[in-house]
Amino acid sequence: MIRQGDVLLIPTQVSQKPVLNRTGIEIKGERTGHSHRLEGEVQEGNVIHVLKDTEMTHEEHNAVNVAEGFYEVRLQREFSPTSRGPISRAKYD
Amino acid sequence: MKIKKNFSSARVNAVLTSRMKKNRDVRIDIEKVLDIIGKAGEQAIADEKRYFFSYTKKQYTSSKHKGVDWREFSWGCINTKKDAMIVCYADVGSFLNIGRGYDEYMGWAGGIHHLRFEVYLVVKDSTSGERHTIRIPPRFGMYQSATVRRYKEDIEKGDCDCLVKEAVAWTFGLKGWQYHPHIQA
Repeated sequence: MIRQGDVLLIPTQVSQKPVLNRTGIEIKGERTGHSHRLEGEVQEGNVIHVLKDTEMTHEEHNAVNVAEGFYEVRLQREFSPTSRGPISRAKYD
Repeated sequence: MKIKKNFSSARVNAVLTSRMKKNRDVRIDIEKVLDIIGKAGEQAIADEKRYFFSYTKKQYTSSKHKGVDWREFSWGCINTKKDAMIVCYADVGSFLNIGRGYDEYMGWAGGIHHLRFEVYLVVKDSTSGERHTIRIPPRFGMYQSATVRRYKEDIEKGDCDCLVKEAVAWTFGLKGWQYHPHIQA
């Protein structure tokens, strides 16, 4: 399990989901427009496939090493009292 | 009639004066405690202004009722690493009376006042050292809630690590036992 700021990567089992993007992974925050970047494929259902060991970089946070494999991406969320059910919103990135 | 009797202007003013004085003192303390977590960045200052110091008193008058709402720090707890803390604010109002019982999800607690809990998680950014404030469900701060009661013994001993970890895990949609990042930046 790897955390960089408001992004959490959770290792998952081998995934057979359709690939949405092969060019690279960019996870954007809502507030500052900064993004977490790494090499790999984006699949359906917030799953990413890291094809070889790589680094996840960010404008403000230190780079972290990400090993090859499948990861589920979770963004930090915040409670919203106006609706039943929490709202996923990037607090900081 | 009971509400009207309980909230005569003399009583409201007496309550308000004591609460406002208490709130001023609490504000200073809260800022000191937040500084333990980390320095305040631009975003933290804006969030805290909105979340913690938005208002301490609202007063209103209608044809049948004169009321006042106030807002005060209820309680908080910090973990042993001092990189995350839970801050619970109580929003107390005299006008609405929602009856007995409470809603753990929305943070309501009934009684003669309406009482609404707002719970925040203040976390330290491990890279920049700045603090960030995230609103979390009231169940992490309400004493009546099952979540707080689960860790009641630890909290009374001054150990809030489990509750704070549970709250941090919630922000990623996980349970406390599922959250164990081995790399963090």
